Amino acid sequence: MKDNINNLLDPNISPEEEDKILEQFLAKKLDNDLKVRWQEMLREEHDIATHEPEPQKKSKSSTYIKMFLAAAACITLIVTLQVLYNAPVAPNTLAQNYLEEQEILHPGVSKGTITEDKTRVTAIQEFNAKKYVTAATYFQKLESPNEEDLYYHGLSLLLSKDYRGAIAQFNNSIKTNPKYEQEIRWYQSLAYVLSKKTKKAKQQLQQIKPTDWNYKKAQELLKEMNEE
Amino acid sequence: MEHKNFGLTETSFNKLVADLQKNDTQFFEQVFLKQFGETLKYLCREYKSSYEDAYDATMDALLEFRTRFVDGKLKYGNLRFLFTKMASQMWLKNQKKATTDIDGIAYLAQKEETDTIPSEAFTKLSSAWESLGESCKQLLTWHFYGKMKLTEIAEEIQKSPATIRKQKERCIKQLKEQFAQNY
Repeated sequence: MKDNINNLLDPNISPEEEDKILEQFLAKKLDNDLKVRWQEMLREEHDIATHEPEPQKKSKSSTYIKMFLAAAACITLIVTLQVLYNAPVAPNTLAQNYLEEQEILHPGVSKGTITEDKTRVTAIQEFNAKKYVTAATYFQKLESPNEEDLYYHGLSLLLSKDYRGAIAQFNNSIKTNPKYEQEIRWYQSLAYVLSKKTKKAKQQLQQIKPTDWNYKKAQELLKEMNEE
Repeated sequence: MEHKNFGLTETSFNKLVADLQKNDTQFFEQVFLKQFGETLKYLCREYKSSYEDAYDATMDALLEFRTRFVDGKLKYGNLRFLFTKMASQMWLKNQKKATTDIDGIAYLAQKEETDTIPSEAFTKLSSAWESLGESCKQLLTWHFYGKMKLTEIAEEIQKSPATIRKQKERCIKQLKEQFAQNY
């Protein structure tokens, strides 16, 4: 097919070959158009850029400015903590929106596994059917849960509004589960916000680094909490 | 069943395919762009992929999904599972590690052919394409990109199949003439 596009100029080209060249041309051209369109939509509407956001650079301020800022931050923190201790509904609503805005689904049973644990399969099926209470029960029953099971167990509890259970499960999970650390930190933050444990929520949200998943949302939540 | 298909019912699945055949991607975008972030994260986690590689693979999977929808190669079933697997396969392929099928999904090699189109000729043909009228662009897009048969297009725009065949010939002739002028 090398250089086949030029064959369009061949007066003896067959209609079949002509169709094939045009099909290939349009596939490439219109796929490119879609790619550009989707990149823009992902960036604008879903906050997903083509490149990983860079961590915020440290400023080169003078020591005095740093000290001043640190003192100011401490004062702000104290004031904020006092305000946030009785956090009202707004951060709660925002957290709930974040939790609901994207459907959370289990990707399925492990790759290549033939003899999958029946309890695990049922737990996953129940989770994806949004029967979170039942899913949590099945995840609980697993004799030797893996990292993924522990994570989805926590999520099942969170999504069934058992925030206290979710927090405890995430606490157990995060110690031995670096694979899901970012996700756990984020969802545990939401659990704290939704259970109105404002102080803990804030501490957890502040641990989300600029390069972590949902950093911007974490900052939004913190901002809302500060404004309360 | 719907949760396995991104919340699509079988009826809405059929509508999505029909829309895509006419290059109307709005419904497809509503359903699939929402899953982009989760899939990207899945690839980063499962394959320790860089963000950029996972992004590219997920985008490739989206484009491939569109193609397979209009080709009639994807049926209403477990689209969610398939999308995740396809993104994984795209990632492996991009890493030049995919030498075999993953879970029975056919190896995706046919698209590579299009990469051999020379860029200069491609640019000139693109320029010729832009000079076509909207009705020609629509007809050729529906037929070549949406994989609609000429008889289906005829039915859709309530014209006779013979008229559509003639129109297609005229449109291709115009495109080639403009391409020759650009050359």
